[in-house]
Amino acid sequence: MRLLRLYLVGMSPSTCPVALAAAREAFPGAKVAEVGSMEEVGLGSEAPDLELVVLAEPDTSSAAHAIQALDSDGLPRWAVVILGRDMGEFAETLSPEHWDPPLIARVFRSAVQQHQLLRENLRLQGDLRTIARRITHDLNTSVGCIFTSAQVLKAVMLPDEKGPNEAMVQNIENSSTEIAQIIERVSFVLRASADPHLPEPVRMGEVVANVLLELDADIKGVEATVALPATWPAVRGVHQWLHVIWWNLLKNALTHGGARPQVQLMWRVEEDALRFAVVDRGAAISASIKAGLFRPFDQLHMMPARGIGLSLVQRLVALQGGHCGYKRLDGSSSSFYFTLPAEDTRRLRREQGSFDGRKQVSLKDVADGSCEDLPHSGATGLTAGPLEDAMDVANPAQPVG
Amino acid sequence: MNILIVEDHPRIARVTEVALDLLGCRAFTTHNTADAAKLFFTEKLGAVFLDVNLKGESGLEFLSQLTAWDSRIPVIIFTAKFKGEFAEEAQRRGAFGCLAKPFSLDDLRRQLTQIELYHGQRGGTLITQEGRDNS
Repeated sequence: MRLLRLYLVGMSPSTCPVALAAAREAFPGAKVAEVGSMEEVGLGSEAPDLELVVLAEPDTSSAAHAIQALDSDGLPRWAVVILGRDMGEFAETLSPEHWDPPLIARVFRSAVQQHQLLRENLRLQGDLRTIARRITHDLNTSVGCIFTSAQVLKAVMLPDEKGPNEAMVQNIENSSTEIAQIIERVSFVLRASADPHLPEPVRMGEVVANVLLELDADIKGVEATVALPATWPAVRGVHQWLHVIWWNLLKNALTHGGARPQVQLMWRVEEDALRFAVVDRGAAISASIKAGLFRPFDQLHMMPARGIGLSLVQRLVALQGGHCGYKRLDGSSSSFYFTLPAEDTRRLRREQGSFDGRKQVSLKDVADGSCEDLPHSGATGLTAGPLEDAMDVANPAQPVG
Repeated sequence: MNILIVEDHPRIARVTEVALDLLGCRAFTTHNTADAAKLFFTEKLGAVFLDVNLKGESGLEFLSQLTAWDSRIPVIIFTAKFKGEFAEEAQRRGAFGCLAKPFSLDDLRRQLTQIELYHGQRGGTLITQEGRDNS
């Protein structure tokens, strides 16, 4: 049994018996100390496992003192319940009409439980930050050293040392590259989860353009064609996260889109959201694989080993208030899509209505900055069916205006 | 070209030194900013390669110090990938470029080409102790 100590602070003759009765009901056997002010709280020599501070009609300063107190680990020191007027969201508050021992007892228990959960949550967030920043930095440094050393070894290798030696050094280089990529991806999702960003206005065309530039060598390598809509909307989101989402979806299409992949990037307005999609003509995905495609990152430990790219997409989309998924379209195409919440969908619908089909823009346009919000592609445009067709199949309930 | 490497991780420092040597440069390696400051004022340098995560020291603050001493010296910072915040802050403080870890010989070669171009545009002269004294 964990040691619990309750402090009843500033109780009047009328509130004290009620609070005492509630304390006994909530935590039989807990130590209860009645004190006059916050300065007297926590002065005992015995360090309890849990502390609950109950303040009766406190002034703002006492309430703040109680709520803001931290322990030596920098975590909230105790649970706080205020009997009196509402003092903010960080403490349970009970107004006088609810001062009934059984109800107060429930509030005491709930406050202690919330306090424990808050401390645990803060501790786990700290773990995430530590893994994301410190451990991945240290791992990345060591792996980086192996990678660069392998490159140097290859460069200084004499012709008669090549053959199997070179193949082994190449193995080291490739393996360290893979490790570095895993470290990067995992640390990215950990950082995103531990330190959520507030959404900001983002020009989606700019994000897609940068991703296409980054994947230009891959696009050319597999002789892919990427078709784009004539324009892109501005969204509210996190630029860096959107970059990673598009990067993973496009990379996925280039990898699994079959020979000389034909890829279409699309968007449309829905009732209160914007939907974006990457459509390719790769083979259909089996039902068992489909079920685990966008498996949440926190459940990956239960899955057989597979890539983490789409789980990363799922987390980053969810953190921005959207959702993502996969649809097989008309037997020959696959659509990987994600949504983002949108406020002014009527305006976006009008904007989208003023464009039709896709527009081909070269990487030179992107590099020149001559295409502003417009789409960007390093390859020739497709001559596929209307944009609406594929999007409607992905979500038949939402016609495009 | 003489290059000053400021990197507290000895193996990274060593492999960077060997790689730079392979690419025709002469590297001076230090593991802290105090030694780096001494070399900065005693050697003729073409560039500085600086780690932003130095043990117990701020590489970014040292970057500001370097550019305050001599704004003409190209400083390349080592960063981890996806550390956009460091790259932006380093740029604000006058960094010439970023080299994301893990870096390849080609990455290093590209940075050196940029540095050579920069010096070429400045008249082909490397930044020397005398130059710093006169600036």
